[in-house]
Amino acid sequence: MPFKNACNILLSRYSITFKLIIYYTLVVAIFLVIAFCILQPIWGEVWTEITNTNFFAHISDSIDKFLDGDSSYLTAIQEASQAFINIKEILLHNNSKVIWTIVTLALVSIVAVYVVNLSNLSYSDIINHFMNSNSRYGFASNFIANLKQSALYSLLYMVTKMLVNVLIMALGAFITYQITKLTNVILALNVSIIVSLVLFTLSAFLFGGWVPAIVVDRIPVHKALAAGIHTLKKLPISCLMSFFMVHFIGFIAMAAATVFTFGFGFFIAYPAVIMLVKTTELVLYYSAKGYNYYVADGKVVDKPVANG
Amino acid sequence: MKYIKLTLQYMRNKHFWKLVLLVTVPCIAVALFTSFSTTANFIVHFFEADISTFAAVYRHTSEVDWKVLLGLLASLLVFAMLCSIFIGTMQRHMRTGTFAITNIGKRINEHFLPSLLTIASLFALIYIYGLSMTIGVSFWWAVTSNKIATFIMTIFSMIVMFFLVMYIICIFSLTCPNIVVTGQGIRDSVSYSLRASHRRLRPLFAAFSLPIVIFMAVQFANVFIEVRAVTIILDSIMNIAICSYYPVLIFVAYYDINEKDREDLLPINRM
Repeated sequence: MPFKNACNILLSRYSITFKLIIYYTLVVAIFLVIAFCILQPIWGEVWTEITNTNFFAHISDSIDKFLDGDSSYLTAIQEASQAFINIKEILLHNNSKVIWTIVTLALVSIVAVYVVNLSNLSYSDIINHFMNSNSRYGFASNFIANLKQSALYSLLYMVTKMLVNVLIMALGAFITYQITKLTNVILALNVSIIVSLVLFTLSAFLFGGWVPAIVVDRIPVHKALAAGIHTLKKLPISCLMSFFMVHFIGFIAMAAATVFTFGFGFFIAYPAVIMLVKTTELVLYYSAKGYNYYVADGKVVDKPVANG
Repeated sequence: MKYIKLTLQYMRNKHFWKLVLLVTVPCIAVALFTSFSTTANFIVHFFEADISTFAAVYRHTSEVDWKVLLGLLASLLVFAMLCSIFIGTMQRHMRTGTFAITNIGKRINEHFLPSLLTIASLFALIYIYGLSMTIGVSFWWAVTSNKIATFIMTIFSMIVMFFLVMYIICIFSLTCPNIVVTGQGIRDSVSYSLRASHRRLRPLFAAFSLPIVIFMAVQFANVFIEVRAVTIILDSIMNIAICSYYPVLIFVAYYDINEKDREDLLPINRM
């Protein structure tokens, strides 16, 4: 039921999706430009050296020949791999620049993730306003109204939930690597996906009540995490099932969107999945508290039942 | 056009010349020391100008000089003070119906920070406009390497940027009156402004952008006239007009959007 109601709410307020996608795209674009401006002076000369090895020319040449059915594409690939060895040498000559690049990219991406996560709270607050009073709240105005709490929340989110997410992904990669040595890749991928989905579900259960406690009951950010756990543990089975569903569907959606659009669809799928997760958290929080909520115009869930 | 009419209606009242007198001296001083025709100058002399590097273009579009920056800071303080007296008096006139430039210290004490904030963000926006124009010119020059194409694309991107900047000014414009009238905090006021301005976006946009179009036309005229005395007179008239138009506009728009009664008008005149 919570999952169905979350989908219903998300479809009722779907215009907010586009605003969030625009926000994500803007932030990513701005930080890409900043990273490019920092790295361009460092890499300007090295980049011409790299292009002079004709690596990219050989790669596109081999693809062209392969598509034409020309059997000499193998020699083009061999030339490309020869060029790749040259590139390796160039990088080894400039290893200080490589380290600087990695440090810069890490710093820029940390700031970018911080700025992206500022929108989480305002998104949940907009959905919260819709659920408790069927009112429409603009994204920009809500973003600024919640900015003070968002700043703190985003910082704490990065050192807790984001860290846990990164650890789970690292664990998944580790499991894949270890099992691949024993048997084949497909089995290893399956096992690691299932394990990480279960772990994601558990971490979502732990952190799921955090944002709803901030926006619904207006609890201060640092106390809201404990309050959220306290509230959500009234419905453990329902929470775990809903979060597993959401993460499973989200994983499939993100994987499909990323693979079939060569990576571009990730920017559309990721906000949509985040929104589905946040809406489910709110629905579960409302159910655990026993509040009534709107799922559509003039349609109220009176006695929230929570069974899967 | 509704807000232009309402603003002119307020400006026609018999006390308004006192407020205009308040901003006259600094506006004439600004016209004496600097001119806003750098952009117009750049556009007119585009084909003789050096646009090969970013720095060269930026020197044409924005005035970066320590004297100018010092003047900006000084004018920021002076205008914030005058503006706080201006809006305090006007707000009291609209709220209670009595007009008196009294309690100057109290007005500065109450309204200095919102005025400073508004004027500082306007200055920042003007500099960002210059910066983005520079980016536009450099970008099109790097792409096309052709002065005519760069010129056409610059004009085009300038117009697009003008609409964008005017839109940004419109949606944030009700912040200052909301702080002054209700006493809410800055974040709540910005949030309110973003929500409320969408109700009357079109008349607000017209009321904000039309004077700027006239202002830009006067700046182009200044470049062609090239007589210093005439340009100073034109500049000071335009500065005074702008400085006395926009504070009235935001308050009139705020009262109209909130549907508050204005006591300075007779009931027959209320639109």
